[in-house]
Amino acid sequence: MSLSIHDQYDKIYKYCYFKVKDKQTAEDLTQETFLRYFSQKSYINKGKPLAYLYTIAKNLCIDFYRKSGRDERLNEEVPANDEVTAFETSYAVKQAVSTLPVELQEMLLLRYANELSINEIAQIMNISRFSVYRRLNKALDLLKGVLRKEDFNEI
Amino acid sequence: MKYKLKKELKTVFDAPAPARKEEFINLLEYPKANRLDFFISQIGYIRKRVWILSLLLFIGTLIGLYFSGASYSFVWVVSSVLPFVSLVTISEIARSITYNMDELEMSCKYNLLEVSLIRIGILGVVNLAVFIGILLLLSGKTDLGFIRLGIYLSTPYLLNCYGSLFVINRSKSRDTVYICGSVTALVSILNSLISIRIYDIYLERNRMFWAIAFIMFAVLSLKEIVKFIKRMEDLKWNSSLTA
Amino acid sequence: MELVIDRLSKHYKNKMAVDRVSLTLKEGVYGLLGANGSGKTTLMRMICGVLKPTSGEVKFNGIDVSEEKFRDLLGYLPQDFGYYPEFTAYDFLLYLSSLKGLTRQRAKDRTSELLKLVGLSDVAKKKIKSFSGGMKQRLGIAQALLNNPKILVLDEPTAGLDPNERVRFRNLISRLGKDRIVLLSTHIVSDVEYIASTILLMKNGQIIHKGPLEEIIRPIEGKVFECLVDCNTAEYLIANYPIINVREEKDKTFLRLVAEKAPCKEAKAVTAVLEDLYLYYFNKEANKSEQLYGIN
Repeated sequence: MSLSIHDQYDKIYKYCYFKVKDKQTAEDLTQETFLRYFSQKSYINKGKPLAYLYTIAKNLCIDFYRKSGRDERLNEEVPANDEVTAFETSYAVKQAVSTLPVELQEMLLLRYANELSINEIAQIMNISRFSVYRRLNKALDLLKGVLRKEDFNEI
Repeated sequence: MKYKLKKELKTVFDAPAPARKEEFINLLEYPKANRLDFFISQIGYIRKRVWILSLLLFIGTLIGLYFSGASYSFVWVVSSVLPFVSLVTISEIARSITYNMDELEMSCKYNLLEVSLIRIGILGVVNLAVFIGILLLLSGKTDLGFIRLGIYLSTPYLLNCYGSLFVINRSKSRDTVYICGSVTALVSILNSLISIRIYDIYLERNRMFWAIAFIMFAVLSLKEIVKFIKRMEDLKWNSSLTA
Repeated sequence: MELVIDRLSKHYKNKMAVDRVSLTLKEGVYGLLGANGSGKTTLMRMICGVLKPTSGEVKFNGIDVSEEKFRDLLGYLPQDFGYYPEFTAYDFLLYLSSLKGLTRQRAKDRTSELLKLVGLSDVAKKKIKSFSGGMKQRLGIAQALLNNPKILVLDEPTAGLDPNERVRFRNLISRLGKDRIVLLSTHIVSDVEYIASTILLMKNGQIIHKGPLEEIIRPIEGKVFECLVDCNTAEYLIANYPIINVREEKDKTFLRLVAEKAPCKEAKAVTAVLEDLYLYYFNKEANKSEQLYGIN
C-alpha cells in the first residue's frame, strides 16, 4: 500500500471529525492514529491495509467517548464558516444526510467522501461485503427519498 | 440523480481545516521500506541498454538462424557478440564508481555493497537467461550438442568478464569503462580471428583446449568477482580517493 | 543523543591524516575549521563510515558506525559527488531515497518537499548535467536531508554557493541544528562564525581547539594588534611575529598581527575575531611568503 500521509491525514481527520464533531479532539485523535499505525512492527511492508488505519481511528474515537462519558451525538456543532453551505444543493444534501442513522452516515463518508473500497469498509465495520452493499444502497435510497420530499416542499 | 448525489456526498462531510498537520507530518517517524522494496526499486534502475541489448541479441539469433541456418561461422559470430553483453553488464555493475556516486551510496542505509550485489544478482540472471535462450535455439540446429556449444559460446564471454573485472579491480581512474570497452573489442576481434584462421577450432579433437580455457576463465572471473565484492565491503579501497 | 568519537586515527603510508581524535557531539551545529589537507575530509569520511579507520571508533547512542542502523540515521554530503548522467534532480533524489530505505510514496513526497526547500522545484525535471555548481551543491544538501537524519555531516557545503545561497544555507543549518547533530567543515570562517554552537579547529590531523566562539578566541584575546608602519619596521615585524593581514598603503604598510604585547609604538590592540585565530593557525607560512613577495 502506498500511503501518502498528506492525503490520509485529511481523510482520517475528516473521519474523526465526523465522529467527535470537535476540531481539536479530531486532530488529536488523527495524530494518535498515525503514531499507533507506524509503531506497528508489521506496518507497511506486509501491506498493512488502509482499513487498518481506520480501525485504529475508530477504536480511538470509541475510547474517547467511553472516557469522556459523553453521548456520541450530543453536541451537534454547526460549522461557522462552511464553504459547503455556499451551494444550495449541497446544503440540502447535508441536511438530508443528517436525518439518516449515524451508522449509515458513516458508511457514506467512508465510501463516497474518503473513497474506500467496499472491501475496506467491510473490514473496518466488521461486517460482510454484502452487508456493506445493502446498507449503502439503503442509505442512498433513504437519501433520495428525503431529497425528493424536500424538492416538493421547495416547489 | 444517483451520480450527482454521489458527487455531492464527496463534500458533505468536509471538516474545518486541520491546524497542526504540517508540524505533525514533519516530526513523524516514517516507516521504512524493507529489503524487498529496495530490491524491486533497484531493478528499475538497471539501464534500458541492458534489456535492449539482451533482447536484440536474442532476436538477432532467431533471425540469423532463420536465414542462414546454424553453421560454425554462425557460432563464432554469436560468440563474438557475447563479450559485448558482458561489457554492458560489467559497466552497469561498476556504474557507481564510473560516475562518482560511490561515496554517496556508501553512506546510505542500503549501501554500495548491497547495491552492487543486487546489480550482480539481477544482471547475472538476465545474462544467464539470454545465454540459455540462445543455446537452446542453436543446439537444436547444430550437431554440436548442448554442452560443447555452451562452452564455445561462453568462453569468450568469460574471458571478457575476467579481463574487464581485472581492469576495474585495479584501476583507480574514472575512465575504466573505456579501458573495458577496449578489452571487449580486443576479445571479440581475437575470437573472430581465431575462429576464421583456425578452421578446425570447433572440432572434436580440440575439446581439451576448450575445456581448459572454459574452466580457467570461469575460475578467474569468479575470483575477480569475489575481489570486487570484497573491495566494496572493506571500504578501505576508498582511500584511493584521498590524496 | 550523543555521537562519540574515540581515539579515531587514519594512517596512510607516510602520513597521519587523522591522529587520535576524540570528540563527543550532542545536538547542535559544529563547525570544523581547517586548512586544506588538515584531515577534515578524512575525519568526516570515517564518521560517516565510508572510510575504515586505522584505529579508534565512532558510535552514536551505542550504535557502531559500521552498522546499517547508523547509516539509517546519517545524512552525508561528500566534498565531491557525481550522478548518473541520465538523472534529473528529481530522479537523483528518488534514487537515493530508495537507498535510504524510504517507501516509494514517502520518497516522492519528501523529494518534492526538499526540492522546494533548496529552491530547485522549477528545475526538478531538468538533467543535473545542465546545473550550475551552486545548484548541484544545493541538490547535494537536499540529498543529505532525505531520511531526516539525526547526524548530518556536510563536507564543504558552501562550496560553489553564491552569497545569497550562503545566507539561505546558514539559516537552514541553524534551524536543523536544533534537534540533531550537524557537523560541517569549511575553510571559510564566516560560514560557521554565527551558526556554529561549537567550533573545532583542526590542524595536522588533530583537533587543536574546540569550544564556543567566545571561548575559542580567548588564546589570542588582547593579542591582536594593528599598526601602520614604514617599510623597514614592517619587514622586521613580518619576520618576527605571526602576521594576520598585510596591506600596502602609499609609502606605509598596514599590518594586523598577533603578539604578546604591543610590538611597536604605533601598534594598537583590537578585538580578536575568529578569522584572526584561523589565520593565526593556518595561514602563517602562506601569508609570510606571499607578503614578502609583495614587499620586494
